[in-house]
Amino acid sequence: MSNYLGFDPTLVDLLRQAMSRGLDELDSLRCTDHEADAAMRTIAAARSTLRDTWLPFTSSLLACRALVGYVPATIDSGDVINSWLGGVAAQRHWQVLTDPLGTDRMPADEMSIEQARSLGAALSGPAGGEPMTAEEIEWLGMAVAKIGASADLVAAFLPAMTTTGWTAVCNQLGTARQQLVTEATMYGGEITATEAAGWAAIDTVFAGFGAIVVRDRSTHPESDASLLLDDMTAYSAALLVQQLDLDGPALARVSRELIEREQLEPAPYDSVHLGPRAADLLFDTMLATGAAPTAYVMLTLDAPELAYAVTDDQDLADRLVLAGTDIAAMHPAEASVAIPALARWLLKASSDYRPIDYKGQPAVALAQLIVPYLLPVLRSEPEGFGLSDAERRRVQMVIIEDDDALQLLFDERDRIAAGLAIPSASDAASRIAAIRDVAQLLAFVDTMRRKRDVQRVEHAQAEWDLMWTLVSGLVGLIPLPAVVSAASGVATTGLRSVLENAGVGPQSMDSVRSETLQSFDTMTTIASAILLCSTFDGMVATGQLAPGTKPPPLLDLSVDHPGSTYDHAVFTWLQGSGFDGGVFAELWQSQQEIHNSHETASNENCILIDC
Amino acid sequence: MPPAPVTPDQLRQRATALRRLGSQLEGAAALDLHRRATEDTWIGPTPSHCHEELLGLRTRILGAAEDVRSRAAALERQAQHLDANGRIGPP
Repeated sequence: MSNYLGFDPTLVDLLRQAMSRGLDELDSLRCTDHEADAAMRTIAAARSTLRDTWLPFTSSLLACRALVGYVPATIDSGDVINSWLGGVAAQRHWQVLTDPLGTDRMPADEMSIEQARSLGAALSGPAGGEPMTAEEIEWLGMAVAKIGASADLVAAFLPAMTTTGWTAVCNQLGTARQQLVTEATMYGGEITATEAAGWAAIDTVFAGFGAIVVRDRSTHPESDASLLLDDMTAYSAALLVQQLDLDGPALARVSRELIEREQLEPAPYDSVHLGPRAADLLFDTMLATGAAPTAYVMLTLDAPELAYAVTDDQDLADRLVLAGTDIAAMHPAEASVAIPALARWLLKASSDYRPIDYKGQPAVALAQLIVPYLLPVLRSEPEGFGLSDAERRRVQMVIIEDDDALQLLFDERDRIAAGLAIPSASDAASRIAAIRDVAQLLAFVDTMRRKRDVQRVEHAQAEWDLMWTLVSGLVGLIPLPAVVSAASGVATTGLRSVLENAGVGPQSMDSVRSETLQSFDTMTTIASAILLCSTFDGMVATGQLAPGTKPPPLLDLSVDHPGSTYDHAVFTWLQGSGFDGGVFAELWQSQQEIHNSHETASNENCILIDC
Repeated sequence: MPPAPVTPDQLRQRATALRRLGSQLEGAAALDLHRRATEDTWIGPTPSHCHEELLGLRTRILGAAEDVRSRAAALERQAQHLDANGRIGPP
């Protein structure tokens, strides 16, 4: 902080004269009533303040200063505040002295045009690059906030603030902030209030800078604030960008530039662990800015690592991609391009070619990504997104082989449902198409689960066989004639059969395949029954069928083959119902479509993923 | 010897004196000193401190003015009570 005092001798003299007049006036006040005692004590204190402190001080400024210890000075421009004060004093032709109060009490709560201009010039000089103390940063935060609140002050500040000044100050503060945050988060602990306060003052300065730029933009819409960012470090530029109130596409465009730039920058300081980066700041801002996530995803399709593998906080990256590809935010035409590109990148990340900077779980990220787009991702052309058979197989296998990813697929049923285009119109063709979509979706999920179940049994069987092989090796230590193998003896073989029959060993593959097929049948039968009953109720409600019409048969899940049993029951019911041809066909077709579409899609996908 | 009884006129005279003092305080030139001690005049830690003190001084003087006015009002109420009841009422 400054220990200089700049003043206008004429105005100080006027102040001194006013103090003198004020003192004389207070001296003249009299009241002897005891009810005025308190007021008279206040008056006495005020007189003392003026007579003993401020009148002597102002008089001394105008008198022989050598006798009272004030030294005429040239302001050392080493720090921001001194440089600013020097600028103000020079513009006003003030005199400058050392200040007896020294290093505190330098307010920025009032700011004139000259002061704003001087601050811009001071920051653009050597002082802008000098490391600032905490007090200076706090003062600067107040000063730029004051400027940002006034168009006149902004108009005075900006012409004096050069691009070099912007770069020097922002880089200095940005680097300091990054270091503080990195140190606070280095060991994964909670950030304390004291630690956060360490960079809060820096954030205040950037907020003030942002307010200045935003206010200038409102006056000069053609001004391009991105020019200020050219020479800054990516992190420092990101701190400023956060405050610029950019719209989604502009924010996404600037973010890509800065994040790419950050990849090429050397680490800003010596540290084993580099904490939050420009990408963390920008992703956080984009997540709070309308169309920015989608715009950013679309802008980085040529290099999805700029979305997935650039943040310190992987969760931020995953959330940005999810927000950007959300079915409510992304146009279907954009999704048809973006989802395959991102899926291919995640497939690569799940392989041996995993990018070194990617800290995420590719299987889970893949499941999250495709949940709303399950059908077009897994469907072949022309209805799908154009992934090859190998890619579609790999997408499913990556998810199947990761319990969390597969579970996520089941848990996210609402997002899956949101991805289905259920027609609002009730024409039969649209309804049948929607039914087919649902059936195919069920088929994909069913076959993936089936594959997972089969794989688990295969693993369990392999472990069981391994145990027997190893134990057989131990048995070889038992002294027996060379021609006799204990492990293949009658008793041992019998023991294995007994154990497996008792259910101690793994489930047999045949039983798993049979159970999963049974499950397919049950699920699709339930789905078709729901659909049939809903269609029937709709026909009654709209008057297509008379009230009291005999309803569809009940579903019996206790039989061995509920699907064919229910088909038969429905067909019998329809034949005996006397419905006209149209009603008959629609009810029968809607019931059958689930089964047929499910079966066709299941068969195709089973071949694809080998289940 | 007991003190002479207080008359309503005496109470009103005291109130008048207090009100006069209040008016003088509210019009004091010292109240405006802070306006001359802004950063248009000087900048530095001591000027900043001076500005704060002059603002504080202003607040205290205005507080004193309000205090004497309030005490004057209390005396006038007592005078009215004395007029009406022949004795001093509650302040």
